[in-house]
Amino acid sequence: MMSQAGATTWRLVKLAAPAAIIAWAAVSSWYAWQARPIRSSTSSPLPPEGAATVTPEEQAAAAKLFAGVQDRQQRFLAVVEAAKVQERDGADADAVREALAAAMKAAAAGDVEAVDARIATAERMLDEMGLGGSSVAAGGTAAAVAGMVARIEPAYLLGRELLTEGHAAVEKLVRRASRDLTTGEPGRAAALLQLAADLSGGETPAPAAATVPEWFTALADAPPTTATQAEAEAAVSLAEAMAASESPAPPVMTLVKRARRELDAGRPNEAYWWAGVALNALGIAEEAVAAR
Amino acid sequence: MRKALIIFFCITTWRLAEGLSCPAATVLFSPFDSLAGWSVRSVGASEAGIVHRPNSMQAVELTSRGGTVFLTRELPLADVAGCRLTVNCLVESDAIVPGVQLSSTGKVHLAVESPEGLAHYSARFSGTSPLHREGFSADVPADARRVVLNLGLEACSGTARFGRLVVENDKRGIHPLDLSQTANAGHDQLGIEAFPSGTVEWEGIPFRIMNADDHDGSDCFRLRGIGHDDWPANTASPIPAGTCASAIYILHGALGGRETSETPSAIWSASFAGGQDNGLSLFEGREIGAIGRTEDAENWQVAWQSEAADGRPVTFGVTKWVVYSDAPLVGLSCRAYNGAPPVVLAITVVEEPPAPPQEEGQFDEMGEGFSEGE
Repeated sequence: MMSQAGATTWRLVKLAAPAAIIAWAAVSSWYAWQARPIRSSTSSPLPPEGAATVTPEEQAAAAKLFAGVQDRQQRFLAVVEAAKVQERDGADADAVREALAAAMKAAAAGDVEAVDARIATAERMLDEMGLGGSSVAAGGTAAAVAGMVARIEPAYLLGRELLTEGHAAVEKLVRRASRDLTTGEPGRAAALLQLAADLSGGETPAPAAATVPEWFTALADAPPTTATQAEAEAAVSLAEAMAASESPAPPVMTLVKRARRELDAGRPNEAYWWAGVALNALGIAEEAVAAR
Repeated sequence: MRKALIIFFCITTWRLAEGLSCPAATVLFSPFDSLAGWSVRSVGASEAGIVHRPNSMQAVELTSRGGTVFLTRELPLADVAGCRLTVNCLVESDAIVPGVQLSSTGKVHLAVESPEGLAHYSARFSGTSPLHREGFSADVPADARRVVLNLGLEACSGTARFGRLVVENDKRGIHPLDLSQTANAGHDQLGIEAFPSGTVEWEGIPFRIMNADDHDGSDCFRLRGIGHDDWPANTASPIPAGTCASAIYILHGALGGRETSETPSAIWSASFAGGQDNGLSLFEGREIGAIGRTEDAENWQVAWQSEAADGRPVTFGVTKWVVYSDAPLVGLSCRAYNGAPPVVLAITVVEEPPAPPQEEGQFDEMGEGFSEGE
């Protein structure tokens, strides 16, 4: 039986964004996702009542708010799409659903800051789901990140020293993880490191580490990627085309999908960065990515 | 699709190699009779070692169980910067299962790091395949900082064997050979009063004359011949080469040589990787001239001339021996036959552009191409 909260969540999205209707119509499994009950997640930072009830009045109010700000609407829809993909890949996205429902309630209340915060929470949850392709062993703490770094360190350092082909994608993920840890996002850092481990051929057993090594911390200084919308679109399109022809492993597909989600959410810099990682993992060298 | 891309990549790179117009020089030849000069680096469960393949071929065998194992070395910048490199290697694979990334396969890989960034060149393979050749060409900028060659398995599982690796640049290759293990005489001992020292230059080709003081008084080698039945019949050991070769130039002369002869005074043999041999018979007055002869012979041109104390000329000449093989020259040996004793001062191997590698077809255990009808 479809839960009321699930049904109303997506009904509201239909009202708020016509594009979502098209997206839903294209995905036949979508209704199965709606039908799954929302479970209370103790790990979720959301209040447990967050997704319980979204009234028709709240839906209408939220629709108005979303319709008025396209960027916010894009982000919301991108999270919805990503959550659907995650569930198709076997992940449990109920906590994301709850966050989105909470975002709608906040929207209905006219609390724009809360809406953005809830959407950001949902985005972070998606990140911490291991970016879809892998399970996150870490618990989102700095200590967990240190443990992850210790386990991938041999493969990372070998790739860096021998200038291996597979190192480019790993390097980007590890650099981003370093930056996330520095900015207080250990959960996201752990998810990125797990993905880096998947790409670099697995982890190596390592003794527990209390802190991350200096080389890892030093990577945080890397400048952020910037790209125009056109550059991002080109990179994402190339990654999708390559993925379609090569049928890569799930972690690589996750990168491609993430790039698409970022593009759909109106974040070209992020989209370009993820597409760059995906293209590296698809065997496209750095200069070819930059030349796009 | 992946296999098709790899094949396309290899064919493309070989076509690039065909377009080379410059001579080539061997930067590296590894027959893998040892791992000297290489490092084995790995992450995860892996094995590495030298194995013997059929027909006496040796190979390095690398096995990975989901991790990475590479045989790796840096190429000397002096030999590769500003050059187009051609890398080719015999490869055999057993049940290689690709890993997560498209580059997570067995491979021959060259990484070129320069101020402009990092460029990768590779020939990737997976699955199970018989012995075949993998290779590519790579442009190395003049300001390259590091050039790393990796053979092995990256983030995948399976076994790969690598044999007979050759890396060439697009320069003319000139390689004076080391005769120190073959030297068995000093010129004084042979009654030759005048003798070159240092380097003899002939038509742009250098011949390095051994310093007798560094070799127990020996500065040449001689073999048995008329009037000297007690001299060695063969070179004591093969003269090591370890380079590709288009022609071998021998600086030598026949002691008491005649104008002509019915039988060769000596027979040279060149051994190439894969077992192929080339031979050269030295007939007096044709491929070898008498020490003191001042006129060129058919394939023996006077390259150094001096006088003995009594005014008689002392000469040595160069014989050009053209060899035909895509495989690297492993070594040279010489045996006396029936004629004047040959006296050899120096040997230099010269590389001209390599023949284009075969794009398609099959290779036998020795890596030599053969057609379907054979």
